[in-house]
Amino acid sequence: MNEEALVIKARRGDRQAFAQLVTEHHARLVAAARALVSDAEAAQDISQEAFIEAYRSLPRLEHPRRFRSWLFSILRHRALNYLRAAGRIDRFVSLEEAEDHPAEPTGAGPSEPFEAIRGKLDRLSVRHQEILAAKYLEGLSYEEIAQSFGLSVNAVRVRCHRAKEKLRELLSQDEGLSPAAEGVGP
Amino acid sequence: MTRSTPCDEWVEAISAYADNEARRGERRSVEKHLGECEACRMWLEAVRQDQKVYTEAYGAEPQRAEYVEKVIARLPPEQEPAPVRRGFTLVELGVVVAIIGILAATLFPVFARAREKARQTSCLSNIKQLALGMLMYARDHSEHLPSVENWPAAILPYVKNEQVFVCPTDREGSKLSYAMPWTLSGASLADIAKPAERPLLYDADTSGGFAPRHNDGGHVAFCDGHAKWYAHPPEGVPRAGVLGAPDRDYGLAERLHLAYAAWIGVETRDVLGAISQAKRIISEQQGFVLEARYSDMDGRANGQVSFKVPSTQLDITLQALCRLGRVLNWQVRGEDMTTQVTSAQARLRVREGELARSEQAAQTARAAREEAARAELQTLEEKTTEARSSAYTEESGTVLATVSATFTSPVAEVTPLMATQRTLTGAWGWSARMAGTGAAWVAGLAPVWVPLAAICWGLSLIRRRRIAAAAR
Repeated sequence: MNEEALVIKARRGDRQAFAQLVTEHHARLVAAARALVSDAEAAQDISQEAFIEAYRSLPRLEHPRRFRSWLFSILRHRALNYLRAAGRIDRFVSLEEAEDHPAEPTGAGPSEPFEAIRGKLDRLSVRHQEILAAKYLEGLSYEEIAQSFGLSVNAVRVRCHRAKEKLRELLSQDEGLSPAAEGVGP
Repeated sequence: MTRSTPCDEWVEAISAYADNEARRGERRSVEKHLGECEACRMWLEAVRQDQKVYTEAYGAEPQRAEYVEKVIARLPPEQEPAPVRRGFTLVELGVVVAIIGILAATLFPVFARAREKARQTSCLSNIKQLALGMLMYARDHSEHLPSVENWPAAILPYVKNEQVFVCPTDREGSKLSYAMPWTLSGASLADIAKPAERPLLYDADTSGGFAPRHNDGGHVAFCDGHAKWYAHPPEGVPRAGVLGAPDRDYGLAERLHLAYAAWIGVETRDVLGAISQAKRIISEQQGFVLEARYSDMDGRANGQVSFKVPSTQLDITLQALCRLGRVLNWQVRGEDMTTQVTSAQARLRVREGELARSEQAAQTARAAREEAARAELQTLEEKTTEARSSAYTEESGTVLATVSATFTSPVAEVTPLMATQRTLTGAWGWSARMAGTGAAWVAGLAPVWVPLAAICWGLSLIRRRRIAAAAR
């Protein structure tokens, strides 16, 4: 069954259909949440809450085709609320401004091979983190991101590029982790 | 040597290219450039590598098997999904209401003017009909127009319709919206020099003045039967609030032996002052006071002055009295005294003849019955004097108008409680009036907003249905 049909069924209260949707999307969503809040436990909670909120608000979703980008925007708002509540971004600063500052990373020390890299990546600003998560983890197109973030496609393109440059900068600090980093970078 | 940094002008395009998001037509040029520029090729490679690192770093987050069950367990219990509520937002409704308001504000005066224009046409037809009725009456009555007092009744047999006497715009509830000038009361058509310039009937208010009730103007019908709209009353039509034209022709009254009687009620704060002013005015106009009374009951002063004044000065006198305060009411009546005057004159002639004959008889019979004759003569002389005085009285009635002027003060010196009560009543009356006006507006605009509201409601219903159908 395709996603659109599942969304329509779930909208009518079909839990089974919604369970299928969760099965399909949760891995990517948890990863994106992890990228945004850089805390594995919180990422689990936030992504679950995002699913529950999505279930509740499904009747308000007008276009079932946009389920993925819509789900991601719910997650994004949840994550930003979490960061704000945790005091990691200033709650009195507007969202746009807040996103420019990197969220203070918290979390466990490196215990796995990826932990070290994640520790690096967590130093990306929220603004860059969210766009990379949308693009790389959620696999949304520029257009979907634009809809989800309320930006123009061109702005998404530019912001995505800046995020990649930043990512490049972070990763190239340690050549060992990124074989392609040699001789490249700003 | 290869450059170590990618070309600034290309990096963004390459970045998008790496995401498979190159713009239309951009793709080929990027590929061409990549073929030529090694630094850019390396940049692309690095970006792709970074993506891999990023995806793996976060994607490798350990999956928890119970995740889905957890989420499903936390879903709200078997409940109907939130009903689809999708009507109009407040802003949308506000915009609609504002548009309706603007439309109403612009259209309503236009409609009102158009409606007034229609009533104006009807009124013009009325006044022309009445003028023709007057002229027909004159044809049947040896070319004489009816009198001011009873012209409506006089011409009713000719127009055979009581509705033509009321102007459709006249909201004062009167049964007569038109008036004829005093100067033409009972006049002969032959005496009218220029019938096309002599107003015969006009749109009048209750005081008998010109009433501009049709788009700031009123209608006037002339003695030749034509009728026209005027913004300002033409010559011969009294202005609103002014008692007749100042050059009213009272010569006609003398010729016709009309006796005038007038009543006027004036409200003024200074009743005593008004009485003394009235006395001065009366003496200035060669009149004389018959009686002046003053009383003060319950703080309400009341004065009355009865006087006689030459008919020629009646108009000026009344106008002067009007200026003493607020006019509450006034009335002028003219009574035809011709019969009384002629009979009195005839009696006088008979008595004078008798007297002459008695004198003759007395002279012839003086010697014999001087005493008796003298007595008869005296009786006759007395009778003649009486007849003369009677004739004088009758005649003087025709040149002297009798006027009774009443002056009253407004209810004065009220207690604070009464003042408060009055204010409250006034405020209540005002708000009630305003509410009434508002309701009248809303009701009057019903043809505009009811269909619009119905359309909006219908649209929202259709939309809701469609969404509900899509959800099913």
